[in-house]
Amino acid sequence: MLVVDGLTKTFGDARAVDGLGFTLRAGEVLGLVGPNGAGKTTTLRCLSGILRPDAGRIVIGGADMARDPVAAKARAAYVPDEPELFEYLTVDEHLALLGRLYSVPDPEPRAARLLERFALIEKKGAYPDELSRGMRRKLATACALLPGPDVLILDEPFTALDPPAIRDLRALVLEQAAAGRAVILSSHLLALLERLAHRFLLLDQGRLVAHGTLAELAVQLGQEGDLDELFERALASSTVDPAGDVPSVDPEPAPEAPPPAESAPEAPAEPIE
Amino acid sequence: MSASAPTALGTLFWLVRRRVVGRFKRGVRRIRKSPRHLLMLLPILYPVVYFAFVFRDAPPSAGVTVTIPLFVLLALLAVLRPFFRADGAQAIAFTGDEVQWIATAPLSRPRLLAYAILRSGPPLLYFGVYWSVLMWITGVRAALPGMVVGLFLYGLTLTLLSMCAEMITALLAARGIGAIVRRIVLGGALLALIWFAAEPFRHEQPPQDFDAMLTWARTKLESSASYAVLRPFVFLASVPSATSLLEWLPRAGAIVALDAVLFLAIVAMPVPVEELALAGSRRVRRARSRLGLGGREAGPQRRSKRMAQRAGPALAPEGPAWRALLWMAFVGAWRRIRPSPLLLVLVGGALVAAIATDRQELAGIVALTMVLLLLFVSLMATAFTDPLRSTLSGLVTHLGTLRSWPVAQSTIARSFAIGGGLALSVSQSVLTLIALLLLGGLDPEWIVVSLSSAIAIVPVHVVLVAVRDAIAMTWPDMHRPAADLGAMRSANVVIGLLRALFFFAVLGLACLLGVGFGLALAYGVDAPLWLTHPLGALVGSVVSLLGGELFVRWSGRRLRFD
Repeated sequence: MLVVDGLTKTFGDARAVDGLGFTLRAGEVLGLVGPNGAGKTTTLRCLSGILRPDAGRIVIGGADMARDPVAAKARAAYVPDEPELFEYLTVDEHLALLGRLYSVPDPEPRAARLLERFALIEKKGAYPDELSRGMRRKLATACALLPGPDVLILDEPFTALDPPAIRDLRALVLEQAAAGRAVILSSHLLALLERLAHRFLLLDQGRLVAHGTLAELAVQLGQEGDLDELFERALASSTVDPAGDVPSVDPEPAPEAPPPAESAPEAPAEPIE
Repeated sequence: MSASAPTALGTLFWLVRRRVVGRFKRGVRRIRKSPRHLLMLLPILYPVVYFAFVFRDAPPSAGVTVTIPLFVLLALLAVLRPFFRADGAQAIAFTGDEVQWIATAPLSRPRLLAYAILRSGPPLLYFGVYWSVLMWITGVRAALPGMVVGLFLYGLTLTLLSMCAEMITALLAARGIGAIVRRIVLGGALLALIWFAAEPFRHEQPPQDFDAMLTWARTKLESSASYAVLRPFVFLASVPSATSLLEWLPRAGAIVALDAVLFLAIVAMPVPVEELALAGSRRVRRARSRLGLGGREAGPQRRSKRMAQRAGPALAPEGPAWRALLWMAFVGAWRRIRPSPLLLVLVGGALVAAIATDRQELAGIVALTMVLLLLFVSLMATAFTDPLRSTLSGLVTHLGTLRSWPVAQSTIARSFAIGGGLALSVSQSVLTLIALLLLGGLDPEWIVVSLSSAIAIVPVHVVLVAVRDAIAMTWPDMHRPAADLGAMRSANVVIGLLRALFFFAVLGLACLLGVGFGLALAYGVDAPLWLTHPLGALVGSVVSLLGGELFVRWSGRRLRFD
């Protein structure tokens, strides 16, 4: 669903992303982990088409971002860490806009379902500054989901959310993966990410430090532990070896089963397509 | 899924239309909720009244004489500005919402650029209508629809020229040609242009009559070599003032053709539009921050780094909360004040003048200029510091502590006024002292006068900050992060005027009473200057601080932590 190969992005002399490569399959959730300034947001912005890579290739659903950006963008949806909404558009106008931009067939019922799913139906005539922060994020997510993207790109989606909202969003991500969408998300909440993602990309200073499932990361880093411990180990390895030669394995096919059952929330009965 | 060309453009047009309608509805709702918002109309109405007053008896040609050079100048600025700016122009400066939803949408490059132009439609239409009214007032008697459309086309061309210039600067930057090279080359070209334009004026005296002088200047300029560069801009500026359809139609047609060529050139230039839009959104954010809206939006990183480099006390003082607040206000303001190269030049100039020449008058003139400029710099300096409302909002958002502090609201306002005022006055007091000593020498009596004057600078700045904060507290929606930039600029004009009005009212009263008291002492009991001046300054300072206290209480009543 998503192929990234040799992705490189520089800002002046600073190399924000350096030769990053990975793939993401349908129904898979990929967690992007790294300290501040590791290149997570730059990577996600490149995937969303906002930034143009200096080198490398991004293919979304078979469409090359460099050669056919319109087709590639049509298959992806991006929600940044601080979602921005049009100040002078109401909630339902936001959804109408996305429906039109992506030529969604018969968008009204879909929009209504999304509004209901995100408990925004009462607020459909409200302007963004009349919504709480959580509601604004919900609206941004609803807008992103309206066109039914193949790849969902979420940058720090859990920032500033309260526990019920985090649970809700976690359920949504799993629901989307179950519906066959590929999800890539970055987060500093490693315990949460560990229970949500199938595979992980560990970045440091723009470079891939380690890549794989939790078990594969443990093999690569030569240490057992949770994601937090492995992340710490990966960063230490990265510091010790500036060349970043920590071995990474090619991504395996997406796991059939979702993450551990005890932590995964129950998917809603009727997933939103 | 991606929209076809007509559907995409239709959608983008729909978005622009809905935003205009939404903005109008919100504006009406805001005014109904709080009629204070009608103050925003003042900057719009003021030029109309001003033009009506200035041009009430002017001949019909006066409007064209005034507006065409103005439009030529604006057009030149639109082209040149991006080349002089360190980071290009703002023609493709998307807002954050546009970056998120439009730049990531499945829109081709021409459609993205079309949107950048399309969204400038409503402001350009407003510009057309507004300036048509102004031109009509100045006596330009062209058909009103022709003027509106002409001005719209003029504005559209400026937008396209600006976008074109921005694209070129981005291309140059990609090839390693930065702002310094651009500035040197363009500066040289401009100097050459001015040189050739000035050539015909050198050997002839201008006529005494004003109208004759304007005609003479125009004829001379048209005969210069530089006019070849200016001619297209003059043509562009002349479209709105065409008086007949036969005159208007070919001009408008030529402009439309030029716009089409410019658009094709912009589309052809291999510059990533999305990246320009993203960089532009950061600039928009910074501009909002400068307007005093930036408390919630963390300031740009460059600014943080610069501030971190500034020296300042590392720890807040122990003791009562007001002392910590005062320290915080002082350090906050101190770190934001940029050292003014102009003042350094003035100080250096005054010192050189005093040392190198015996002409005391020269040093005196320089010193006096310095003192006058100090006041202006102080007024400007408040623009570089955050109003209390933004600072508080930032604190509450990031620390969430202020609400729990055991301090009265008026104490917070007072501490900020004193802390900010002190920070602003440190350098000004020192400079005033130097200026006055240069002016009067090192006579002991004059030293006392200079010292008391330097100390009196402090209450002046306390009043300045107190007034600024009181207005920031009172002004509706001063701190809306998503506030419209144009509206906020208008608001800032009104805020600046109100600030100056209140500030000079307090300062005027303080000066009046202080000087009056000093003069009464001098003439009543024949007291010497070393006594009358400090006492007069003391009375003036007390009056200033009492005036400042009024604004502090005003702020204290309006202080909210939301």
